[in-house]
Amino acid sequence: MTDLQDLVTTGAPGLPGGDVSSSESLGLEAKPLSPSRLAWRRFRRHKLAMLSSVILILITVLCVFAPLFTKYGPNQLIRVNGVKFALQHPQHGHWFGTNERANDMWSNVLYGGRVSLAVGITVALASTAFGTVVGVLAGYYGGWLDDVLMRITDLFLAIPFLIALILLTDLPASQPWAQTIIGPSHSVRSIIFIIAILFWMPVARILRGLVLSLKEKEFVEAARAAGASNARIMLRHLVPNCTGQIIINTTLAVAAAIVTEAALSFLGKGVDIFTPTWGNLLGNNQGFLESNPALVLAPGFAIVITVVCVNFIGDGLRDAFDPKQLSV
Amino acid sequence: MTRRVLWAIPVLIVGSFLMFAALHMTTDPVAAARHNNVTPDALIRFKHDLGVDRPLLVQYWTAVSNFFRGNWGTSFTSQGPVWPQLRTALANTLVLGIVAGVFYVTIGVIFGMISAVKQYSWFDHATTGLSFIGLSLPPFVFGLLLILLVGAFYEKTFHSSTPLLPFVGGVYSPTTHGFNLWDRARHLILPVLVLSVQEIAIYSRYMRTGMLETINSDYIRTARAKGISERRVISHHIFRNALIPLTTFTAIDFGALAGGLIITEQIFGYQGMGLYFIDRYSNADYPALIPWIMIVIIFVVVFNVLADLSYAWLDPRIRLD
Repeated sequence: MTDLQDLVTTGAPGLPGGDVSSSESLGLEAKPLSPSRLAWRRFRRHKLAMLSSVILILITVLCVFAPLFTKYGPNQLIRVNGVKFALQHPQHGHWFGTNERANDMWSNVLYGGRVSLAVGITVALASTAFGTVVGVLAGYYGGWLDDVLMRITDLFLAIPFLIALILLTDLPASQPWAQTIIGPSHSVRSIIFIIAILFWMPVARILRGLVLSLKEKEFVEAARAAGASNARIMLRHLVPNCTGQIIINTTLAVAAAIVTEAALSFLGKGVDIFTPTWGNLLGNNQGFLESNPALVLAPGFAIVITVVCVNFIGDGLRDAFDPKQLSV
Repeated sequence: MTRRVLWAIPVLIVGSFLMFAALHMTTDPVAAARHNNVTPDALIRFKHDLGVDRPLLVQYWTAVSNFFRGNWGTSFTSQGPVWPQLRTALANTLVLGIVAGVFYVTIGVIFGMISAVKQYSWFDHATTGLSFIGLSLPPFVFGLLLILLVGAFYEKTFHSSTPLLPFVGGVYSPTTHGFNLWDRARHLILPVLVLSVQEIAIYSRYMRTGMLETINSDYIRTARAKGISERRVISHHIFRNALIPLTTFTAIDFGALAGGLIITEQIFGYQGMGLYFIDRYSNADYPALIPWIMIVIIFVVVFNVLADLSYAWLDPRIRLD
């Protein structure tokens, strides 16, 4: 799993400074490495995670710099000799064929990836940040605050996920106040908001559990004895010690959010159907599954490959930050 | 323990109220009636009969008390009583969910068990690799792939005019009348597979982790030291203990089932709770939707409580405060 140096320098996880004392007591000359350097070292050893990172970077570059890789716009009508070039099979110049509206599918997948990746990353960051705040507050203060926050978490978990998403996506259309907060119905912004609202609960629970155990540790006691305020203890001592879990969860949330956006779009309740997203492409072209499979397979595989990569990276990060598998 | 159970009640009330409120905010049953050229008088009477002219909390209270009195009213969609259709949808979803559940839990547990007992073997590596891919296969992608396989691909390869398995038409073939086990089973195969891929991956991962944790615990060493055969240690001590967290997981899964397996139902046109909701939601069919909301929330909350209780009951080390 790890070489000797790693074992020695890691020491007890969650205890800053634990590494120094243990290496001294063992009488070994170990160069102290920062936790992030150690994590990076272990991550590099996870071959699939490294490969996935490369593929994911490649996908991201293709999507972000889409105009460099395709000469068509996503909604650009393609005509050949004045005739609409619709529902073509994959061929030279149109690698994934063209759809019903005579748009190039390759360019749609690239431009769609922009939205899908943006939704995934933004939802992951926003929901993890919110979940972290809830979890740390609940775990640190305990008592009634913990009760209230955890019951709210339970409540959010009790509501059927996809149904709640569907109801929320329609909310801005009929409620002006909702539109001012989350943006027009079926806009990218509103979809990001709505998915994030229903995504923070697992992180909150995990972080609460971590903080519950961390706050009893000596370094928190030491900080308090030194006169640190509650805010300082939480921000400078507790949150940094949860970095591993936070990063792992953010990564996995990216995958889950991409799938959720696609699921919503597949049901016709996601981003409006004229904005290409991987889910929309899949949903819009569903009817051509048997006659023109490339139209469905291209966005489908884009989703699956991205999600496989993100999940492998998540696994690599788990190994990197949690080498002893302390948390499942 | 009692506290845990008592907490379920506010979750139930607030949860159902939130969904009720969201339903009221996003839909307008009167607008639906307006399309049917109803006279203004009739519209006012209709509004009054529905009770949508009253405050939301009053409406919620009426809806809940009507629900518990079994006074469910008439569906706008079917113009008939609500219960028969809701019952069919619930039964369809439960049949699909339970058949799929038995399938994926069994396979997942067996795979996870073998992986753990033969840790780092080729089987373990293969299962781990496959489970990552399974985990990353969303039901809508996998479902469409399966349709392609049993449909176009099968028909082309075997020069058949019919697909290998039915994937449209929901629960029965249109030509089938009444109950037909064979036809029903054939319609279940694809939805069950679609539901199972991710779940098998999840369950085998959980089972593997659970077994590995148990294998390294002291009482297993004690059991081995007592001279119990390896087979018995695995089946009686490790396996049983590793199943405890899975029980909780299964209970929660089962509770979430009532909400429907929307994506799967949508792909195969399977008339379960998910499609029931989506169809009636677009009609703002309140009488049909309110019992749906109540049943779904009750399911979730009750099975969450059961999950907690079963955990404490199965593992005496866990104590609920």
